[in-house]
Amino acid sequence: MELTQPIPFREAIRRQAVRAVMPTSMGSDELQRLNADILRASFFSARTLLEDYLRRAKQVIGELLAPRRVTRIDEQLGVEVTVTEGLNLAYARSELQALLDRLGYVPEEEQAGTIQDLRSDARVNLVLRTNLQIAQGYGWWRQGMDPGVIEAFPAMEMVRVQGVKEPRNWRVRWDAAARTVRDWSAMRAAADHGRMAARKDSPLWQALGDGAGGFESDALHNPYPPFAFNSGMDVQDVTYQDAVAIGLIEPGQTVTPQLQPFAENLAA
Amino acid sequence: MISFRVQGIDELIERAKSLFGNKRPMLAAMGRGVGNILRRHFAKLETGRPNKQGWPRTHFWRQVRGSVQNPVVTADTASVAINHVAMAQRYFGGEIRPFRRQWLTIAASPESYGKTAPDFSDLEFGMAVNPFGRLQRALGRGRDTHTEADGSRTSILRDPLFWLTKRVNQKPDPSTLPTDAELSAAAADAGENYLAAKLAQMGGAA
Repeated sequence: MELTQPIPFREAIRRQAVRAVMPTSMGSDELQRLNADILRASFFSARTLLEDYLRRAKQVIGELLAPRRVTRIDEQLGVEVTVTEGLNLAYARSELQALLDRLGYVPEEEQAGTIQDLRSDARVNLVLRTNLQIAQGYGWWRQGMDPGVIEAFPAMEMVRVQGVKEPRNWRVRWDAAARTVRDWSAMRAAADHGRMAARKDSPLWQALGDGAGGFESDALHNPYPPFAFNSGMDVQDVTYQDAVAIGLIEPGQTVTPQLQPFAENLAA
Repeated sequence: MISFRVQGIDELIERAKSLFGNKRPMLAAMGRGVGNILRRHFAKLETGRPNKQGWPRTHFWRQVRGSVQNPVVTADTASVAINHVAMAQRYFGGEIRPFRRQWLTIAASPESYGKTAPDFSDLEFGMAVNPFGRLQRALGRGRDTHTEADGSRTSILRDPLFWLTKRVNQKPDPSTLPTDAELSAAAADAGENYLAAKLAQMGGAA
């Protein structure tokens, strides 16, 4: 394989760019009750009324998504070098915490250091990681609908990509989502093959994202990962031959590419 | 950042062109196959490579996995990029030197791992005894008296949080990526799946 110049992650960056900043004093439970489309279109952090902070957080996530290749003079060698510039999570977190300090943010005493404290490592990490993963999850999902890709990989399956302290029971959530939308092939794939796999055009994915079956409290309302906060779960493509083998599609059956989510329609 | 260009595997690509009059979807599928194997590889590194010190994890490989993008297709190639700022350094290795700073900072304790020096407001500059038993510049807290071999005494930091250095040399680590053979096999497998799907739609066998 030839190693070449990098290309920006266009779909993820565009997805991040169209999200409006939405200051809110609503808590997470109240936000969950908002229409999923509004949530998807807005960049929000519960109980954050600091527009400057939200705007900068959005920019920082954009920088995490798109590191840049730049050419500059090496100060020691005195020659031009090409390097990769960009933020990592640690510096992104530092920037946002420094901004909150400049804005004069002080948490309520009983919340200091907790997840309710906007400046706490836990809170800033949650904001950065969740929004970064949503943008990347959307980019990968959207590109998975492209001609050629959707024929070769007509389905996807849930996989664990990061250990967590208290894993949720995703099989229960999967079965609940499958029952809600009556995707029996997905239920059989889980029951017979131990794989939480479904066609890319199955409404199961949105149901999973909505927390169907009583799991709404941590849902993120997207048909692509992450499907819940701090879940450690993601998806991987299932090949055409594998999808036929486990009964998700019949030989020769087509899978319909899914249209962009509501947020992109707002931008247009 | 690193990009791969899917080339070769000409027979599959030309077959797609002769059957369907268009090789772009085939190239897109092959590129996606490369992207898929990269994501699976990084997922394995995430579970199989906790940091050597046993400190709280930063989930670096999870972040790298998320930065793998789908192919960008041209007339004859598909390019797949890994858009993480630190990935190229891990794979190619090389020297790291500070830019617009005097020192590089390296975490010296679990408390500072995954954080930056500005995250702490109470650090002092000084010398501390590193894991090799030598005095090294550091940022940390508290002071102790250290007796040198010649009997002289030095004030050193008790709890170093960051080691300071002018440069770091990292060895290349090819295991951070799948092998060329694995990447080619993934591209070919994706191409074969694309052909199988399209031919089945047309009522024939691949």
